[in-house]
Amino acid sequence: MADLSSIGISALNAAQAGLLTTEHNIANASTPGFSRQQTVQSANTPLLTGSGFMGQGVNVTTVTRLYNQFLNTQLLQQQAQSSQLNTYYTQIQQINNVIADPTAGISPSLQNFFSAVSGVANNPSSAAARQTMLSSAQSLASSFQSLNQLFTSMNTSVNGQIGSSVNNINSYAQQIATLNQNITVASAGGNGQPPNDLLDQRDQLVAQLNKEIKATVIKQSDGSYNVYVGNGQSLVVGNQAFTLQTVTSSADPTKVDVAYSSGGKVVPIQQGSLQGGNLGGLLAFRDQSLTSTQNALGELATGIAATFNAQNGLGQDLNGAMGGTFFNIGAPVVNSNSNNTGTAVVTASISNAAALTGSDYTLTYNSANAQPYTLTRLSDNTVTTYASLPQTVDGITLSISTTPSSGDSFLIRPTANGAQGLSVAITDPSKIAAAVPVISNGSLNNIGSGTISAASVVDTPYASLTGSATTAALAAGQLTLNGHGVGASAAGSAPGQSADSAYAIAQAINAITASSGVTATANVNTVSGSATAGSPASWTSGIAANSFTINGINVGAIAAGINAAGEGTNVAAAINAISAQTGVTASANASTGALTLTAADGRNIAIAQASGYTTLSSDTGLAPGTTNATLTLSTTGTAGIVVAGTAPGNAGLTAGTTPSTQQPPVNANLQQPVTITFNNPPTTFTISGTGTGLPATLAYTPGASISYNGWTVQISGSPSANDVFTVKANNNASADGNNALLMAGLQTQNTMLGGSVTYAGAFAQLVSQVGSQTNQLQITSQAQTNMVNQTTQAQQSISGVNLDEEAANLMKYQQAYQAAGKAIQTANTLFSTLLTMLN
Amino acid sequence: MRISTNTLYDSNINSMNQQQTNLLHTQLQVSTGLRVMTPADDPAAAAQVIEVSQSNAANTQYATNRNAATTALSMSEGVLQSVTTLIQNIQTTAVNAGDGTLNNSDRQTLATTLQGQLNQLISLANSKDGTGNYLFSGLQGSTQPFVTTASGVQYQGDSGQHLIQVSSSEQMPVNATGSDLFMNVKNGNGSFATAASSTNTGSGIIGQGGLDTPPPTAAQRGNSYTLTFNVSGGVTTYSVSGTDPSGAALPATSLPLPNQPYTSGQSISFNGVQFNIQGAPASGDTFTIVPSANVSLFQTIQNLITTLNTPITAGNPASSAAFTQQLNLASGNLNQGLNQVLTVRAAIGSNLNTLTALQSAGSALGLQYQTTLSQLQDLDYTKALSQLSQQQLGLQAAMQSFKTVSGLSLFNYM
Repeated sequence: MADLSSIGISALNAAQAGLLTTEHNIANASTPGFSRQQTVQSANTPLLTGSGFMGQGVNVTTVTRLYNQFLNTQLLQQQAQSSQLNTYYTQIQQINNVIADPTAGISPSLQNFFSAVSGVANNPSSAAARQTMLSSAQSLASSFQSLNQLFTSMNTSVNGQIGSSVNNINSYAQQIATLNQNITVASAGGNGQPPNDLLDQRDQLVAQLNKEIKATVIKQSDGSYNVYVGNGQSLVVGNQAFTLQTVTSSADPTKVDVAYSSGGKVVPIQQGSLQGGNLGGLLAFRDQSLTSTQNALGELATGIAATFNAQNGLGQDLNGAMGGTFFNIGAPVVNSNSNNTGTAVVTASISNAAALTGSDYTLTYNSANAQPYTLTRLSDNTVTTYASLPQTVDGITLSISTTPSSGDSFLIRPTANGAQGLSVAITDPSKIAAAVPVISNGSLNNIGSGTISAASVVDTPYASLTGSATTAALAAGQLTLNGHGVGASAAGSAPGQSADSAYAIAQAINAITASSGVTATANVNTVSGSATAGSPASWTSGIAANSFTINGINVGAIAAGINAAGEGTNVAAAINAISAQTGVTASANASTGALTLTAADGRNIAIAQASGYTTLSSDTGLAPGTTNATLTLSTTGTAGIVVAGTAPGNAGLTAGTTPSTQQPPVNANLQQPVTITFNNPPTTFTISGTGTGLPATLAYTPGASISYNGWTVQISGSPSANDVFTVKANNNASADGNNALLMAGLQTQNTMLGGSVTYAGAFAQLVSQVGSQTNQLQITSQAQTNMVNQTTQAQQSISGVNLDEEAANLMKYQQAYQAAGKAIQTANTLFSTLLTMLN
Repeated sequence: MRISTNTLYDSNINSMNQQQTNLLHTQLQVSTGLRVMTPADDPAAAAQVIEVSQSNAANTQYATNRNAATTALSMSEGVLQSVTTLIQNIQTTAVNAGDGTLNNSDRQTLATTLQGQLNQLISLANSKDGTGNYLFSGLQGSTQPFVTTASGVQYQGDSGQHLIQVSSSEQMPVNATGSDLFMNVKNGNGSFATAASSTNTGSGIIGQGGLDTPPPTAAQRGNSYTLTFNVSGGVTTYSVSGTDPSGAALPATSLPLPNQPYTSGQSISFNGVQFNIQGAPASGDTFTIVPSANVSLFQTIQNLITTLNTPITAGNPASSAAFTQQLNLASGNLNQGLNQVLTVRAAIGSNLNTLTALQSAGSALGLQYQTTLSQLQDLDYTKALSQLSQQQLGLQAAMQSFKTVSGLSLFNYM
């Protein structure tokens, strides 16, 4: 009977345990991270009797939690990713909401500003129109500043949020470490029974940690969790927690970095390795969106200011002075790394706004390298090395005060300050350079029908260089200009235009001007003979025909001259007689007779003596030999001129970079009076006045550009002999708004991003970039959230509590309990029956 | 699959959240009327909106510019209309002066009238626009263009043109310069000017002449000629000499043979020029043919006044001939001057026409931009409103079903 009741009691206990577990489940149905628990019961070892094995009732072996390790790990990873995307999205949404404000943003300010510029062009003498232009320029500047202000305050806010995220991480790490200890102790004390609720709490903390940062969990044999973040920095090991902390970035004092604190030492972590969670989202937003958007805005502001200043500088203000700076441009930011040991200071200045990239750069110095300066463009990690500074790259000129210590580094942010630093430089409306500084006029006495166009101020080349004399023919690949290979030079059809001549090499270079942007001019080739000394035989007997050749053409007989001057004149005449064939003209000095040979098209001048004639030098002062001309390269491109290749010396050039200047200085003689007078017959004209390189006489081609002293005019029609045109300073030009007209034209000109888009186009690109990023994040974060929800459902389908199920279990265990009670009662009744029988 | 009770609630809440977000988005779209509220709604369209609205703003600016151009051109046109009338009045005066019945004092009266008309012309030429800038001084808005000096009326302005951007591709000059209007007036017939020597004693009068067919060759253009008369034995002949633009005498081979017989009124032509001489030139009288030079309209009128003030000596054929000669010259020059003003007015008129044409093209373009902008960013209300009611319905259904499902519990039956 004892067995009978003990089986009943075991069943009663099992049912009670089931009821307890069910109620525990019901009670914790809404507890985050709770996994439903189940009792595991099994039949007791049966008793062998003569009639076989007799059951001995039931016992509860353990209480388990329903938990799927695989699903949980998956959920953690998805949760980390989802938090990162959500945080990133929340942040970038703030930019997205304001950047394209149709009423107060950049775009309407830009439109208002150009409308005001047009107002000045229409009515240049109106003080009101000029004032409106200044005011709208100011509001353009402030719309840049206020947008930039948002970025700056978001940066501050992100720094703060990084701090609180790091605090959360530390707090979770500490709690996990504590739970590790509790679990180890509980497991040891509980004979290996799992402390289910503690395990749930720890898993919940790991889940919350993953909302802040992606953490890797490795379960140890004693049941504790080791937690790692970043590149394997351990956050929790057993019952010990390590801490992260925020430090001011050594490279950029406006940013905070996350560092790892270990044994009292602060070790920086590579920020890019901190992925996932809130922290990952904040860092990604700051480094991938906030910085680049701020830079792009600064690039736009700098571009507008630089191009506008350039045009203003080509104009003349109401007081008759040349225009100056219209917009102040925000200077590039250079931060010396706080760990630098040297005292060197790097300065950066903008040399060419159109070539800016919007990227930041890192400059490092390593004295062990042959080219110790390494510049890394952070947007695409392009690395360039230099032997020395200053250097110009991407429109930025970098210079350094002294040699830095090895290992020093500098962060250069060319346009970070561009939007903040944009401001209007002038306050006096009359300083707007609305007029063109030169004016062309035809004389009132002109008889012919020739008319002169308005003078326009022209851009001088952005970069130019002149090499030394060419030395050899150019083979393909021996010279590259701006990265484009120049083909082989081919000899021209005339004598002296051999493949090694400046003439031929210039043609080869100009064949690829369309791609390289570089134009070559073969300079005039000049050979200067010396004055003949003494009284050579030629003075009395002359020089026989065919004694020497010029460019392979025999020079005819030369008559005797009475002295050096006379002989020189005779030789020059003989050389000029064949100039149509040789392309070489000669002139003799009137007193010394020294000869000067000139080849205008830059071909070679080859002088050779016939066999048997050896006295050319003493007779004429000319030395036998070949003289090559030099080349001048120029470009109006923003890339400057980069000479490279295997043998640039053939073209008289040396490898190297000639940087492009954004705003070439205005020609010093721009406003000097120059007179163009037509000759009789009026097929040629003469230019006279003040200026360098004014040619005496030029052939007249109707409509052709005439450019000197930095201006260009065209004369068309039929001028008569003695007709006069003048170009001079544009005095008293209060009604001239023609430079303002050119400024207004900048609105529709492709000046930005290397000359590919307008201001509005560049801004539209920025907006579309922010828009696309936001849009993409909106979609991906939603998708990731949905994924988390799906996995949560799957995880919950195993671990979650279903109240209906628990209600059923409740009934089940209640009935089991009742049945067990009945069984005990039955046993009791049987026992009573037995007692009764005994009585 | 097992469903946990929490999942039942959570997924319903998630779904309602999502539906409310969508509903709010649609509601905001409806209340702003915009499909693209932030760039994220449609990044490509948002970028296009910026570019198109920039183009639209420029187009609107061109319309404003065209109004400014129209105002400026109309202002000049108004003044030039008065100038035209005035020149025609002066021409009438000049024609009246040729009336043979007038005596010296009558002509002096006409001279006084002319002086008044000259002053009126100078004052018109110095007109200002609405903002106080001189109309005809080129770019020197505050410089008075025409100033009377001892050597006549001088032009102080320049030949600069005030350009206005009237469309994306066209810049239109909106000022006429005083030099073009009044100064660069070719004298004579526009190609060459004829004159009688002041020392002539005969009654010969040379006409204005014109270009012959064929006209002068390039080498002959710019040559000056002198006709010298000789009366010998009652036979009047003339000989021609000439110089090239540099002043060198022309060789006899490029001139008519000497001693050509003269008949009054008969056309004389050589080297592409053609003219006639009337009356009886005396021996030694000379006439010159020189290429047209610029004579200002003011100078022409001033010369005419001087002519009218110069008395004609009765019975002196030379005196009378000189008067007629001067009068002919003046009327030719006035004609040239009128043509010059009319040419400028024609250019202004054609510019005004261009502006009208550009105006309608600009309006059409503006409409096009508006349509594009609307297509890019505006809301399709029909679609949005039907979407709104659909989303509303969805949310209501979710709420109702949630209520039903969450009310089910086994505990209710225990």
